[in-house]
Amino acid sequence: MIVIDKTKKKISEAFFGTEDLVLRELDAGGVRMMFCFLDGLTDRQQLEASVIRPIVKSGEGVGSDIKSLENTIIAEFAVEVKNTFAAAMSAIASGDCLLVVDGAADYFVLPVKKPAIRAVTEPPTSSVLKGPREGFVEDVKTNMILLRRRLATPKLVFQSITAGRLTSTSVVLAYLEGTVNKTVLAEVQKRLQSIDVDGIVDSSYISNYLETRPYSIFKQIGSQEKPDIVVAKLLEGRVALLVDGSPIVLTVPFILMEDFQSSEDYYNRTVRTSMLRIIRLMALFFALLLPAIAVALQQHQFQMLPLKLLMTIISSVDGIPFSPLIEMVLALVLFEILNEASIRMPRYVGMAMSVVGAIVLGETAVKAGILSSLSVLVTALSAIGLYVIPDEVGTFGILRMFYVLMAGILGLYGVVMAGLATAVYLVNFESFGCPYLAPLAPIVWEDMQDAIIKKSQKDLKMRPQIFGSPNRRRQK
Amino acid sequence: MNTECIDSRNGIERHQISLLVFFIPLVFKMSMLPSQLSNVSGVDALTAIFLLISTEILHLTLVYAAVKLGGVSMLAKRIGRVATFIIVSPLIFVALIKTLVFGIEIINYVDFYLFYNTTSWGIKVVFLLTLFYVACGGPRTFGRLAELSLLFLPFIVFLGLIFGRLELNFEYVLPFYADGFYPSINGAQSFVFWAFDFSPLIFFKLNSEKKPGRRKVPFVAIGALIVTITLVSLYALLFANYGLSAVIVDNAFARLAAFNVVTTQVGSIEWPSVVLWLLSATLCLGIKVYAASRTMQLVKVPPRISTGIIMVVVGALMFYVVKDISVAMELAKSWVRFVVFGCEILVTFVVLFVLLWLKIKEERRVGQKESANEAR
Repeated sequence: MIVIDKTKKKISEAFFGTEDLVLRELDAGGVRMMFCFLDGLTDRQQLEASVIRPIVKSGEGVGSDIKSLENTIIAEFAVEVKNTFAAAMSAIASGDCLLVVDGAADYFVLPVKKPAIRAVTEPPTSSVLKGPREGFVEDVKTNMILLRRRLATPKLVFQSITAGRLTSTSVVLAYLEGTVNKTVLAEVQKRLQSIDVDGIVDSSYISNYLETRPYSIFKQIGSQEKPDIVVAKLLEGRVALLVDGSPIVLTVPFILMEDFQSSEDYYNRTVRTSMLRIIRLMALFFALLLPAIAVALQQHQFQMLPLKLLMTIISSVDGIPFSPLIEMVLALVLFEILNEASIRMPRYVGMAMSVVGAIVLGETAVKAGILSSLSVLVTALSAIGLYVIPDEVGTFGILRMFYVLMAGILGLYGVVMAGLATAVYLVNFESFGCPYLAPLAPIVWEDMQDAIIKKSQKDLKMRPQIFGSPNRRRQK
Repeated sequence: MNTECIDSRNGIERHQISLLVFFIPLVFKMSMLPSQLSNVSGVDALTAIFLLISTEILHLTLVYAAVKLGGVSMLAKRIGRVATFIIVSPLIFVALIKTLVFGIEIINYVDFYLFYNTTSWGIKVVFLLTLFYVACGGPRTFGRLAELSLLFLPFIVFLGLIFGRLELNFEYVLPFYADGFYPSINGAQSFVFWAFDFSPLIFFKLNSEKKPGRRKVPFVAIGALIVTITLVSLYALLFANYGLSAVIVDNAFARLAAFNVVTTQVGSIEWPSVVLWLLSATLCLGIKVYAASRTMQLVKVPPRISTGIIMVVVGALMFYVVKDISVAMELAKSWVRFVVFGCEILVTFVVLFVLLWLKIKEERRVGQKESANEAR
């Protein structure tokens, strides 16, 4: 039996006297009751109009059971019953209003949360010329609606679990029943259940728990900010994870080829798409290998260069006090610093930053004879190449440095061997049982239709084989 | 740590084996061998290489039959690890000698022709480390690397078609079988060390078919046929292009893939083929080291340790005994070649024979059991 005075003291103590805890008592026809909520998190207007006013108006008083309560208040929402004090406190902490009725056996939770929701806008990291401009927001409910609106089928299933002992973050699994690979789904569920941590702040926390190789430089979980991309992945038989408080939706399994594809690939003409994908691969070559090849050719294999090109390079590096390796490492580190600063810096000084970076640092360094114009050019080309595949900037940035070091030590042979070692590493790499380099290694001919060369949407009759969907046919 | 003699999760697909069947005989026969063979057999080098590859394909049929019967893992299961070790242990010696000679061939090519101003010891150390890493990967890694190599091929062919300026003169290779039987057989037997490389495949486990009802494509037979045609054609092209000066070709694969016509503009265009050759060469040696490591696993040596031991031994021999290509060539052309050849053939024969015997025995046992059941 709940006693108001005693419970009031207990709640205050449970929240350590925090100032935003509101405890409002009410006498409704002789029945004492108390509303407890955290200021700012609860929709006061809704509470007033839908709960408090009807209770006051009812005059005769409200019973201390759920039926009587539901009959009195405007049934805009379902009243939940909590029979333990701890569960009731979690409900307050999550933003709901707790109704404590004197003499009642249970606590009543009124779902009147008022989360601060950002408007659905185009995500800054995935802007497109053609195609939907909606992006996910931090509120998981809104994100679920964005998916549900595009997948108007009862086969779209959302499964929610709570992770984080202190944050009680809602993690929602989304998949298409009948299309999803059940083994992957079970594995995701198993790994989610095993999370036992005090707080989940963002979806990247969850991805750390889903990965099998947390120290690898290669990511094993896909991340998307746009509902159209996530829907496309769900249609392939994959699983999506929406995390409350994060606009990034995770998708599994993940393969490397995904990052060479863009949502616009599916909205553009097929031939143009295939051409762009080849260009992205070439950009990868520039990003990863150009600095290493430049170092190797300057430091070890200069005899491989044609005479005219060699003379141009010699005149550009003349007077530089560093070896090609040190010079390139310096240029790349400077680029990484500029890159980091431009991301962290407030937008209104970003312009100044680019001026400082590009003109002052680049040009002055060349004029001062610290860096050669060749190394600045190579770094710039490599950086442009790197940003053609924006989701892999971190990974390829590290690999690039590794190749440069190998080039400095052993020349082109070092680069080739480093590339071979990377290939060996990647062919063994898997994400939820899917080979990371598929459909290239292992070669999956059926999936090649949407790898580098993309077939027309009309001809993509089957779902990708590697994701193991039990229902492979998409169209007749 | 997995100490099983075959890692059941680390199988290989049939089409991947067929790719290995394509690369294994091709890689080292397309480096220094053409020049050596041309030196010994002259115009009959083409017949000699045809003889070598034909007999090697015959060896492959035995190896593949053994693989289909379960290979070394089945043998270990049925007759025990120690007995299996006794049968296949000569392959450790074969792997050591071949890795040493072919390893020196790779290092020599890199050190003297490709990047002659890189330190030799550095090349050796990085080569050994990469080889260790490749060998630890196992059949799945080999299969997928072969697939990656395959994807390189159209690119190289494309470059060859664009930039290649072949000036072919088939008088250099015609008529076939010009000087009779002796020069061809002499060439083939002198370089038998460069053949019969399929025996490590007996350690591979074939993945079960995903769609059992489907008609099987004879991938391995197709691979064998393609490699035979490719190898003989490439030799014919090389000799027709270079004539007698083929004796000075450092790496036939790289020379054939591109003819350096754009060297004076943007640098040497042979690069993609050099990368592919290095990749395939390391892959082929990785398979040998893997076989030796799996043999040692039969006597409970963990895979990484056994691979490490092999690499240390090969490394020591490379640094202190067989330091350069001339010593390696002498070794490969000495009586050792017959020992290596004997080991490869004998091990394959014995493994296949025992597996067949076990199969017949098992069938008889099942037959007897069935007839006993019927009699009841």
